[in-house]
Amino acid sequence: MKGTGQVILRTVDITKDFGSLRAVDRVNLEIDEGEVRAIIGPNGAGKSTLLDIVTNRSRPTFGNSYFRGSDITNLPPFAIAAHGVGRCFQVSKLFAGLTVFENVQIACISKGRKVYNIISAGNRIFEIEVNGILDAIGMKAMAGEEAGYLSYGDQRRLEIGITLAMKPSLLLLDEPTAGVSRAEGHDLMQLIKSLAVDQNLTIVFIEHDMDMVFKYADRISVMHLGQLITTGTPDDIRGNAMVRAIYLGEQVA
Amino acid sequence: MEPAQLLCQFMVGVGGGMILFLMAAGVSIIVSGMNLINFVQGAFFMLGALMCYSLSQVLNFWWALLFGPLAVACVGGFAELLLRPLYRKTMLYQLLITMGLAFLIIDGMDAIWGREVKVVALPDYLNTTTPILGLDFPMYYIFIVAASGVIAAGLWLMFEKTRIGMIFRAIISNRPMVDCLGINVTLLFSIMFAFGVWLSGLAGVLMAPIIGIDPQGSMDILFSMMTVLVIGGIKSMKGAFFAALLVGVINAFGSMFLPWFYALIPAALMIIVLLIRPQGLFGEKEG
Amino acid sequence: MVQRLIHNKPLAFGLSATVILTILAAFLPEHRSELITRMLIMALFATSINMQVGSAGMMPLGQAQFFGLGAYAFGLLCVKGGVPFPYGLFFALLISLFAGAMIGYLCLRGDSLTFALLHLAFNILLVSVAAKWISLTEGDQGFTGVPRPGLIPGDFGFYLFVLFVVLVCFILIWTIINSPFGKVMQGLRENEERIRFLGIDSKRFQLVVFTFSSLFASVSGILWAMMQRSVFNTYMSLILSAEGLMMCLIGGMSSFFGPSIGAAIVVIVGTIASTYTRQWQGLLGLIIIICVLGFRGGILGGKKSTIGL
Repeated sequence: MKGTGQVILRTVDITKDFGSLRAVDRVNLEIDEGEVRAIIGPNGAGKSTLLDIVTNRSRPTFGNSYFRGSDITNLPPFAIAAHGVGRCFQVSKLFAGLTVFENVQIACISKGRKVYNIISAGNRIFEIEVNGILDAIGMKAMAGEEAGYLSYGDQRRLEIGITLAMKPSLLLLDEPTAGVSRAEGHDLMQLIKSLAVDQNLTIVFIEHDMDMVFKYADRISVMHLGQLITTGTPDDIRGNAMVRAIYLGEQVA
Repeated sequence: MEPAQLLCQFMVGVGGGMILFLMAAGVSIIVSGMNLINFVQGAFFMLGALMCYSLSQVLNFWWALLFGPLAVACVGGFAELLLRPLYRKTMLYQLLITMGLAFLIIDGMDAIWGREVKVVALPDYLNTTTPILGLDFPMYYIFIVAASGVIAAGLWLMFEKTRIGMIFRAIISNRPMVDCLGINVTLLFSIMFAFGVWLSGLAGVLMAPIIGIDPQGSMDILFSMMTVLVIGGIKSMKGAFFAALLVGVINAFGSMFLPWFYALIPAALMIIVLLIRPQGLFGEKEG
Repeated sequence: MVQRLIHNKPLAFGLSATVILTILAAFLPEHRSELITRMLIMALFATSINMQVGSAGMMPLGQAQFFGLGAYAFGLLCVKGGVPFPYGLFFALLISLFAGAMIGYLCLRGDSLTFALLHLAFNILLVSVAAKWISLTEGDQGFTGVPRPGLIPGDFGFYLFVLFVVLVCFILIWTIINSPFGKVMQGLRENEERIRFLGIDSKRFQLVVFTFSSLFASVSGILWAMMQRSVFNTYMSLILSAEGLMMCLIGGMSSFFGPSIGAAIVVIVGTIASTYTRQWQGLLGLIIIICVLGFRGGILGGKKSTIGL
């Protein structure tokens, strides 16, 4: 799964200080289009913060991010999302009181540019697209369930579905398999990877489960104490002494 | 415009501000401590004023000063029981139930006390004037300003120097933490609430002799208190103090130079502060 | 088509209510039909508030300002400006639209608490302006002479006019709420951040909702001015803002007709209670307290969908 060679996301010297704590330290990251990149590192390494900054959920102290060459550092989150950057969160952000169908439907409404349409009937709009996505994530049978009552694993699947409805070119995932069983985790990752192939998505995911990382990532970036230590193929990282030292004492599956 | 007149007006403004602070202090405690947007305190203020009226007729002014606020605090205590289930609900419910409570209390006062004009009998030595800078200042006015000053100082002392004040401050800044420390937060909330109501009641008692005692005016009073709180910063007592002084002085000069316009100033100030610095002049940005 | 009508509960309810009300008004004595007119206008007012409440983070604490703005705009244009009825109506609506957009833009600059406080502050400001700008508004005195539409004369004719206007507005609001736009409104209520991460400018969206909501509040104000044939600054009062919110709460904020039912109850209680006691607002307060403590979502509340009845 190699990319087209184009860089889809680049960060230049991204830094975030919280008072005297430097959470992200001059991170220079380059993600190629079409690749599946894992970001790993011990807790507190700054991985989630980095994703927050890229999507402008949090402002960097200094540094810039570029998506397909244009500077997105100062764009509001909704604009970045509209550019084609999708984000799934550690704690799924869903429309809890609405049904599975409606959750995906709203994403389709946004993608289909019908947000300000006050005239059409809203109940069945984009029904075909929604059902297509529900099929792809295997949740068609649950279309009428309230999202807030779904199991944790199903909520994550739904969030992936919502994000994919936006047809992003870049998908950022925050610990996609945390909190679900190993089998479910593999199902999720396989789903993500196959959808990525179908839609030529670039995927960046933060992960602690090394099984998942080594199995599904094309390349791995390692962060520690806010800094980007190294980037390489799974084999490179496996053999890297510094990485092993960082993880000394941690469970490596 | 003579400097003496300007100075006089400034002092009137400061005095007015102190009085505003007195009224706002009680609201400030409850709103900060309990994150409870609270529409009922104007009613408690007016209740204090009515208590003053009745008690000073039966006994005298000083007894009214002692018992009035306590009576209001008792009513406040009952009210707090009603409000307890709501602490975790959304703000809209809190707002509406305190509004409902306000309506209830206002009309209750209307039913019990009626609508005729009420005059509070002051002890003689307070009912005189004293010349300051060539103008006759009413003695009672000076008494109130002094009382406000004492209360402001007392509040500062309590919050900064006493244990219970420290606990109150802890609750204001991080309630769940205090829960974890094994302190009975529910009881303390009730005390805080009662204390806040007591302050508003006290303000009502003190103001009774000089304002028009009218239950229907409770909400207007509340809104001027809210203006002060917003400008100063909702969770900040210090902010309330300086904002009250600011509003008092602006009102005093406004009424002198722009009589038509000056009634709009508090609301306009509130809007400007909310637009430019929503956390208030002394407030802290959340998160 | 008829099948769809019958199965569509709220639509059926709305239509039958309209028919019943029309018949009632034709046969009831005059003061009873005025009661229904009040209920209709207040139902529109309360429903306008609920458009925002159902749309995340928007608590319009001062909606009476738009009620009053509409009334003043229409009243001043027709009475003091001598503008003929249809033009007065048109320009009053236009003015209300702009005012709504401007005030909405300012109110939405901060977070949701700031929104609520700003909304309230603007209400307070406008009430002061209305009270002090005596040369324009006649201050506390108010002014009379507000015209009614000339098409069908008499009180029954006016009643039909109000019924027609309110009906049209309800249909418009219903359409909006059940459109794709309405779906996004629901999403915004559930999770504003997710909406933003779906590429939607939530502030701009809220502004559009706000503008619609304020416009419908202004329409209800214009109708009220016509009904009373006069404009007073009590039309903007904070008490009215509070009553509007209470109507939503009593009837249920999560259903379309909830606020209307709440409005009917408040108007009826107010009218009946005020003949027996001067303290009817206190009674209202008591009802509110009971509703908040007792029912979880008002009379029609419970299920979160704004689409069900």
